[in-house]
Amino acid sequence: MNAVYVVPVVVFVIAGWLLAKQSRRRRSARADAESTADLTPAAPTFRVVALGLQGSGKTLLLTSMYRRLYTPGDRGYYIKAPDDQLIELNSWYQQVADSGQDWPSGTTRQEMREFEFSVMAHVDDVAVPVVRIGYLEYPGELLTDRDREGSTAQADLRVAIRDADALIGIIDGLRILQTYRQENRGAVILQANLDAMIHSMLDVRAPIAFVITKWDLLDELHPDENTRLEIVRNLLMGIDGFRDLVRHHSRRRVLRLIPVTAVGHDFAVFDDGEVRKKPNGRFAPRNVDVPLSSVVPDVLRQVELALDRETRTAVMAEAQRRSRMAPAEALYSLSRFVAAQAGHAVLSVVGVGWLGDAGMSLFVDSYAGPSYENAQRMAALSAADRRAEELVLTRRRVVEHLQQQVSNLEARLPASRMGSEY
Amino acid sequence: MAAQAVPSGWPFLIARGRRRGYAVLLAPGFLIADRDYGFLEDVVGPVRDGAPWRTTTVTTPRGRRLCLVWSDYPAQTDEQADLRDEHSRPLRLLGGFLCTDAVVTQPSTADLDAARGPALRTYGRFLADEERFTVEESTPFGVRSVPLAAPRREPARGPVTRQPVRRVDALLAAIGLAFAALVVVVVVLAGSSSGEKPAPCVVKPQVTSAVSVTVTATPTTRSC
Repeated sequence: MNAVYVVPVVVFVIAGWLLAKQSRRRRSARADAESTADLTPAAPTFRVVALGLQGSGKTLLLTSMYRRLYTPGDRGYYIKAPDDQLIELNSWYQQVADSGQDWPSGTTRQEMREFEFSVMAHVDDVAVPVVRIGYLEYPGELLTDRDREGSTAQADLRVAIRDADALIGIIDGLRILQTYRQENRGAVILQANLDAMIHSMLDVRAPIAFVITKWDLLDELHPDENTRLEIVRNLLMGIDGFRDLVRHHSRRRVLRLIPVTAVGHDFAVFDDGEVRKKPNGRFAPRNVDVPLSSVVPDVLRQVELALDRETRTAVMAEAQRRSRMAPAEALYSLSRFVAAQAGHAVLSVVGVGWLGDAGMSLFVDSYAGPSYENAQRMAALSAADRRAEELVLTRRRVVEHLQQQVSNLEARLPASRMGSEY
Repeated sequence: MAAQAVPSGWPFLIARGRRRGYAVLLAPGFLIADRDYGFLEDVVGPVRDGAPWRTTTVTTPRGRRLCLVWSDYPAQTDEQADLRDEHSRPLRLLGGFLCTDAVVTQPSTADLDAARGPALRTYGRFLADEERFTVEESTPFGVRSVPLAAPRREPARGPVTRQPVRRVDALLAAIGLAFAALVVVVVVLAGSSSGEKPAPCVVKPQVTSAVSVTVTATPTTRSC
């Protein structure tokens, strides 16, 4: 009789053991994930505003930039957008890239919003955001046309510009071409373009980059691209307000002139006052990822340039200390650094914005030297610590790669760097 | 029986020119007089996904409750069909009508057409002199669309939220159910074989799956 009940009891014991084991494993994984999240601050967010008049190419730049970066390629990172914004970006892209469809209509005030991009990288085969970038999309007339009574769009834009972590000045390549050809209308609009930029950029602390859109329309200036860029740079520096803006800012920050084409050099043609898509044009955007790639490195470099020697030395020492610590210890060390004089100095330079825990960690870690994994050290860490450490290393590699994109442009087009020689 | 008053609709238009950016070109006189029409530029946007129109109910900065109905169509004049701005982008008009004393859920084509005529005429005058053009007053017309009651203040709607569905591990659930079934079998066998009083009830393990989904639907075209 007893044998009849032995089997269920054995099954009961086995089932209970399996349940307990599974439950322990899930608790352990949850604890690991929680402890990793505690050890590593959330991804810092950088807010970018592109200053450009209506029709200057802000929306096309945004669309092409997203399409260029939405897969990892050979970079090891990619950008991701929320689903509702992804639908819109893809829709714009389809319309732009299709030579049988018309150009997109201009952005309305009602469509003004910030696109939220997460720069994603893989840590232990899991995609995590290492940096977030907010890019404001708005109608260009907000820079020149005053708000109608009851509209708040222009006021909202001014706040966004004031609070931006980086500004991109969009200079319409079509207007440059018209100015070069001595067409009065083009010169007038180019001046208005630059005036709007000067007004918004003169007293900002954020890094600045200038982007020349519709670069493909300027092919006729010279066969050599760097020479072409020099011609354009000299034309712009011949305009008083712009020259003053460049001189004012190049004393304490890096200034770049980045030529981009959102459609490529064989997709559209300017003919009889109209920009038309070629029937069988080849859609091949170029340099569209560089403006966004420059944001994070330029912000970090500008912070560094603004610090005195003593503070820079303290930051470097903190970075070297952190590189030898486990993540939990490194986080504690960072909090003590922030409370100390050097930390206050960094905070006072940057002001509000991206420099929360995540931004401070990113800035300090940028001083830690070349990225490499110390295998012996990693083996000594717990699983949670190892993952946190991997995240920090991945973030530094991404920032280094972003900087590399900018360095590549400077190597290819030395005329893109505008220094204090003016 | 008293005849029901026919609600009034006022045409409005927001559009770009060849050189000027988006602006309100046509609006009701009472909004212009009160400087209460700028909100139209912030609220009225393109009609997407092939929809024929959009509607919304808004409260203006001066506290007026209005129902807006509009469509999105290519700009054209009597002389030219394919109008573009100086950047070669196609020009489109955002035009329709608004009501102060009705909420429209099903706009009639006749009403949208009635609003389009004045809008196109205003647009033609705008194109003729963009730099000096100032917003024009629209004349009301009797609305034939299906109206509801007058617009009333609606509670604020938050974003669509969904509670994540918690899934119970399938293996755990299967093991738990199998265990419960075995216990039942043991109890039944023990009771039937011994002939004695049945054993006390065994507390069955609870297998719970918490599923909580909250969905608030927000249509792309909100009815007024």
